[in-house]
This record gives sequence, structure tokens and C-alpha cells, in this order.
Amino acid sequence: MTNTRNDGRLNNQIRAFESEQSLLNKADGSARFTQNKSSVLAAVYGPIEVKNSRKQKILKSLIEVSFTPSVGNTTYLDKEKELLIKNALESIILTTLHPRTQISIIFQVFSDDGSIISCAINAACLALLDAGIEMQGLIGSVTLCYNHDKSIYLDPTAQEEKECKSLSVIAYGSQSSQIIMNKTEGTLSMDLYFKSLPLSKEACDKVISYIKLAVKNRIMGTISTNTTSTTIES
Amino acid sequence: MEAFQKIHPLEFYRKFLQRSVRPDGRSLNDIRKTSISTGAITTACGSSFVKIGNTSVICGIRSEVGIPSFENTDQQTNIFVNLELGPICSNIYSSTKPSEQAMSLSSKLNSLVKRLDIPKEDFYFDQEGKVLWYLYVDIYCLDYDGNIMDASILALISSLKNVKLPRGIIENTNEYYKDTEQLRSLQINHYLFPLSFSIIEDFILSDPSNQEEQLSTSNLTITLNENFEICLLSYSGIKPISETILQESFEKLKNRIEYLKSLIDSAQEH
Repeated sequence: MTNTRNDGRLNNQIRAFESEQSLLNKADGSARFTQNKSSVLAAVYGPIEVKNSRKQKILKSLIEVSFTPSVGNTTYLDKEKELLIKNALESIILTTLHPRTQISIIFQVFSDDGSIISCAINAACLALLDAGIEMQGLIGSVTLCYNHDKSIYLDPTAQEEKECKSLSVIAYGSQSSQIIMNKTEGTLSMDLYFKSLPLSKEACDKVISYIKLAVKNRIMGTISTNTTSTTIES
Repeated sequence: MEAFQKIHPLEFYRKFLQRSVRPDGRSLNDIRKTSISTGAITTACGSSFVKIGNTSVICGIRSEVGIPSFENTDQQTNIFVNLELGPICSNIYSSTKPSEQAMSLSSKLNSLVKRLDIPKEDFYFDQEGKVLWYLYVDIYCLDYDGNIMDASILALISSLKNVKLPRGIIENTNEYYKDTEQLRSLQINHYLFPLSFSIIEDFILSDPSNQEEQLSTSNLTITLNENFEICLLSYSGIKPISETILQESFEKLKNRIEYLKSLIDSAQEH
């Protein structure tokens, strides 16, 4: 396969991961997840008292997500991202353990060079682990973009996201091989969509194994972990 | 029985779902009666009214004339969609600020508009496109009984097909006149066919009602165009979804496409 992408990557090559945990003092857990020029900081507070008592849930804890972009105010597009991230995280956090409480997850984007939702979900997973929130398993997310010539790029940059035909954000858990969250936008044939699922699964597994490595390093005493960029074979 | 439904809604539903039927008499795959009518708002340049069971939305399109800015013209869009879930449709929404759900739906609708491939020339006010039409699509939910996504997508596509724009005349460079005798419609190259599902435990329910949505663990929305291409797929929920369920859902929507197409087309004829 030839390198057709602008940054010299292969179609099925994801950017190198880099992460750092516990970098905030006040937060119960925090982590920064970086994929080359995309970088997100996630902070977790919880379980804490519910701030807005009207939203309190009797049987489970409330998950609150706030997503701040690197520049400008939050728009309705960021609200949509918040909702996607919230839905993905709600499915792995054991919310029934702490009823009538709240778990807040706050994201600050450092720089956005594509795949930002995936980056945020991966950061949240590390931050939740750092905060010691009980979870069913780990979560890994990846973004795919489908081009006009039917090729699929894994982990696209902002430029590639802009030029592509359709974009899909997908999250898998470590527990089963089933989809936790998926949002696909743009015109895309069904065949190509189902063909790309094993690829995204494989990529999410890579993310999850990286998260495991980062946690292991954290326990051993090193705060930050990084890897080289990897190619995904499905 | 009513008390049982109020106190243990999930158990109540489970008793029905195990027999493959829903409390309102539908089977799991049945979709409520859908109706579309257009042109109800005569002051708007396009409008539609969509009813799916008890869910009803009204959609009106307002047109404005504006001079385009010449920066990044590829990214520009001439249609802006806004969805309002006000206190009129359900007691869960307040009038003060738009809910998260409304914002997320609006952004999905805004991305779906781009899938219609409306040619740029259709927005030209004059012949050369120095001045453009901008369309503001406002969708209001009047009655909320679940599946607002499908209703609003159908309202969006049928009201855009209903749009009639007058021919513009520019005199002395900055005097704009509308020739309301000569109306033209937009050239919309694609259709949008939506279908939503709610998953309650292991049961997949097409076209969920409000209570079903509240009890559900996950929600799935698929939108296809007439070539069976995915325009929007969104899945989120507490429980993961398997590939086979996804494939089955696609089949269910494929079977409905012909019917939806005739519904959208026949709504334009009046």
C-alpha cells in the first residue's frame, strides 16, 4: 500500500498516543490524551453532591459532561459532542453504585486536529481510572473517515475530516465486541460501513491495550506514557 | 392495571413485550400512522406538518436575502435549521433555554441538510449569484410522544420540497425587488428516510413512543437516502449493540422506504 495521506501515514495507521495522568491537584482524577496535534485534558470530580437537585436521580448517579473547545465559546455543535461523550461514558460507569450523586467530567481541548471526540473519550477513560470510579470495563474510541474513492482513513486529521465524504465516530468496550456508541454522518454505502466495523474494532482494542499500559506505568510511578504510531490489520 | 403501569412501568412493559406486543396494540415492528401535509403556513415560503401517531411537528421556512462573504465559499451553507422543543409539547421542557436534546437534534438536522445536494445556483437571487437567498428552517414540536427525530427529518425534507422562491431583480446595484409572479422550487437531488428504534432489554421497538423512549436503555436512529446509502447513523445507550441487530434494523428501514417516498411525494401535490 502506498502512503497517500498528507502526513505520510498509511490508510490504516493511527497516530502515536501520548498521555499523562494526575496532572491536576484539585480534581479527583485527570488525564491528558494526545494524538499528535489533537490533545484533550479531562478532569473527573465525583461522586459528589448533585448541584442541580432537580436533575438528581434516585437509583443512579448523574453523569455530567462539559466540553470546552480550544478557541471560542461553546456552540450547539459542542453540545452535541457532550451528549455523545456522555452517552458513551454512561454505558461503562457503574452508575447504580452511588445513587443520588453526581459525577462530573470536564474536558478542555488543547488543540484540535481531528478525531477530537475519540480523543476526549479516551482521555475520559484514563481520567476515570485515575479517579477510581468503578467501571464495567474500559472504553476505547476511534474516528474513521470514508473518502470519495472508497478508501478508509483511520484517525483522520482536521484536514482529512473536512475533505472526506463521511465520518464515523465509534466506541467499543473491553467487555464485548459490540458497539457502545456510534455516530456516522455523510453519505456512505452500507457495504462499506459493515466492512469497516472489524477495522474500527481492532483499532479500539489497540486504544484499550494502550490505556492498560498507561495505567500500569502510572502504578509503577511514571506519570506519562507514549507509544509510536501503529498500523491496524483487520 | 393503570396503577401497575405507573408504579412498575418496566415490569408492565416486559409483560407485554414477552408476548411480542406493545401496550398500545402495536407489534414490535409496527410504526404508527404517519401523515404529512404541506403548505399550511401561507406566509412562509415553504411549510409542512408531520404527524407520527400523537407526535406532531410543524415546520416553516423563512427566506432572507443576503450578500455572501467570499471567504471559504465551499463551507458555506444557505440553509439553517433550528428545532424547538418548547413547553407546549411536553412538561419536561422549559421555555427558558433550549434543551440539550433540542441542540443535538438541531445539529444533526443541519448536517443532514448538506446530504440533499442542492445546487448552489438554486440560491441565486439574481442571475449571477452576487446576492443569495438564505433559508431559515424552524421546526416546532407541538405534541411530544416520542420519535421526534423521524418527525423532524420528514418535516424538513417535505417543507424544503415545498419551498417556492420568487425571482429577484436588482436595480441600481442596491435596490432589490421580488417578482412574486415567477416562483421556482429548489432542486433537491436526494431523499431522506429516517427510522428510529428504542431498545428495551433485548427487545427492539421501531418508532418508540414517549414512554418507551424513557424506559429504553439505548436509542438507534438510521437515515438512508433513496440509494440505500447511510446519511446519518447514531447509536447511543447503556447497552452495546451487535452487528446483526444493526443489519436487521437496516432491513426494516429498507422495507419502509417505498412507503415513505410516496408519502413525501403525495404531500406535495395539493
